[in-house]
Amino acid sequence: MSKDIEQILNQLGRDPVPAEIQQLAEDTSMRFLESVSQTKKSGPLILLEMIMRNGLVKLAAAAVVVVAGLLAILFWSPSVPTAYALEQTLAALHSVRTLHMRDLAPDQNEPKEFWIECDDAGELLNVRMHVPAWDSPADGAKEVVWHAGKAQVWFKAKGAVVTVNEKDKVAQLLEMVVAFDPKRALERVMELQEQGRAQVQIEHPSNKAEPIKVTVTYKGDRQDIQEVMMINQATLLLESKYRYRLVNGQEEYLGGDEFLSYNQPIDPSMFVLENLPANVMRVDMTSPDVGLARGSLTEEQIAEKVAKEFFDALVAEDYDRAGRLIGGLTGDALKTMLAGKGLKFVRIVSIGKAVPHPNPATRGWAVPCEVEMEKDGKTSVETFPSLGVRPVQGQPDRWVVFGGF
Amino acid sequence: MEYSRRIEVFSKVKDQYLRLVTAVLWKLTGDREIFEEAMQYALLGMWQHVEKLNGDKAPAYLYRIALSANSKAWHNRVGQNSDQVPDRATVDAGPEDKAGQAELVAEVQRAVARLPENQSKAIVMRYLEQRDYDEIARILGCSEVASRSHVCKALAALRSRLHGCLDEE
Repeated sequence: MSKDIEQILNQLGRDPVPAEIQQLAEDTSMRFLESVSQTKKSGPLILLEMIMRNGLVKLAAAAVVVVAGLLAILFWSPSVPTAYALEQTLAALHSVRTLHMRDLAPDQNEPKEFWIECDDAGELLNVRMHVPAWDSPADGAKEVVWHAGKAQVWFKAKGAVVTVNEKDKVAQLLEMVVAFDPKRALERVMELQEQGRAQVQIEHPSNKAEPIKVTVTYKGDRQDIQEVMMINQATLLLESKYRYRLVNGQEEYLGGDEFLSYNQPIDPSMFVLENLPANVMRVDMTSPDVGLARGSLTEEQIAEKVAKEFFDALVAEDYDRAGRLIGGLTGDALKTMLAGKGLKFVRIVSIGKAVPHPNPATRGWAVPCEVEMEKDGKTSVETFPSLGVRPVQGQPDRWVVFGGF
Repeated sequence: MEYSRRIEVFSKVKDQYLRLVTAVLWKLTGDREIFEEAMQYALLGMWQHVEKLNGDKAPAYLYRIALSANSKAWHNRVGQNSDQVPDRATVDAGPEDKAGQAELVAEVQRAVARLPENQSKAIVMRYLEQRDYDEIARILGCSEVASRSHVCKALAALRSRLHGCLDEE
């Protein structure tokens, strides 16, 4: 294929932005505006809202949603004196220690599911989440457990368990929980209501067995977004929250959250990955000696160095070292894997110049390598056209081989 | 800036520039999920620097925010990227096929994101948005000659970086 850089760039420039992407941008910006409108402690909250869709932190976001929901309803409820309600609500908030919830997406039958456990001081203690394959088709279904700053991710389709550091995101999360001020959130929504940019409707049934229904409609230029929250009258806790887009009077379901239980004991085994296949591959990216330190090398240089040392280790049959260079795979696992395929590495023929990896999402480099190998007694020179090398998750100064070889 | 005023300005900036930011991010990502994440970061950047987006220099700041958002969007994708798992199925895989058009485009997109800031902005404006050099110069706050220089240097850097991936004509 013969293609000039300018041709590619010009083509990118000419390609129109799909309507669905324009819509996605509209929706995202609308949600963002809602978030900033709901709280003065904007930074952490917004950050949290933003990464809700992207992984572990989703869990704790749920707790905040709960708090916001119950405080809001108490403030709005005409039948409850505000000062008393606030005091009671804060007490309710501080009493939440466990939560089981699920996140629903439109057009998907299987929800994401989350279990959260806090200690008596309200600090996040354990988290588990089930992530269906639709969330990330490349990964397939995942189970994630988090404890003490580390997350273990079980990639079921790949038969691998990867351990990664998750300290930063959890720290952000805790900061957000502390900083979030639901009273401010309420004030902001009421201010929006006064400005005509939001409408709040509360249905408070006299029958205590029925939930209170709170509908907040955020007004947009082209469309409105509506949130419908159902709140248990007895516990004052949020039972569900569904979102809709309103265009020309038509309602389009955007998904929601269902809070299945609060303060119900969660079996400790939920926070451990159990019943893993006997041959599951374990990769520990939290080990301090995984990969190689980049030091003062450029990205290209460290990528080439990692590639060379990786094959050096395989040639020397130092599988522990090779395993550390491929993301923390145990030496035994690597040895067994190669032995099972009858592979033996004889010598490095060449290590080429690193180029950006074909998949930009990896943020890695691809190093072309040629290695003399022995397979079932026959020797040949094998080419690895793009051995992937990139920083270790949670240890950005250390670099490893990724994506197989 | 008073909080309610901040929201008002942000809302105005968003209405004015959302299409621009959307187009830039989409053309730099080309992937729905990454685009969405980048858009979120861009909105956060716009919110944090909303004071700077209420004047003549707003477009220049917006490009900086969009490029930064694009870069961040590739990070912090916990468990979202299967490439972090050594895939046993690929251990004895043969040579990969030559990169297809989509991969080439993705490489160019990524390389653009890695350029120095002004070069990156200039390339985005010149090619992804098809702007004239005088307009690029005005947004960057430099001369037209300097804007052409940014574009030339950027193209040279891209060609150098992608040497071997592309057959230059």
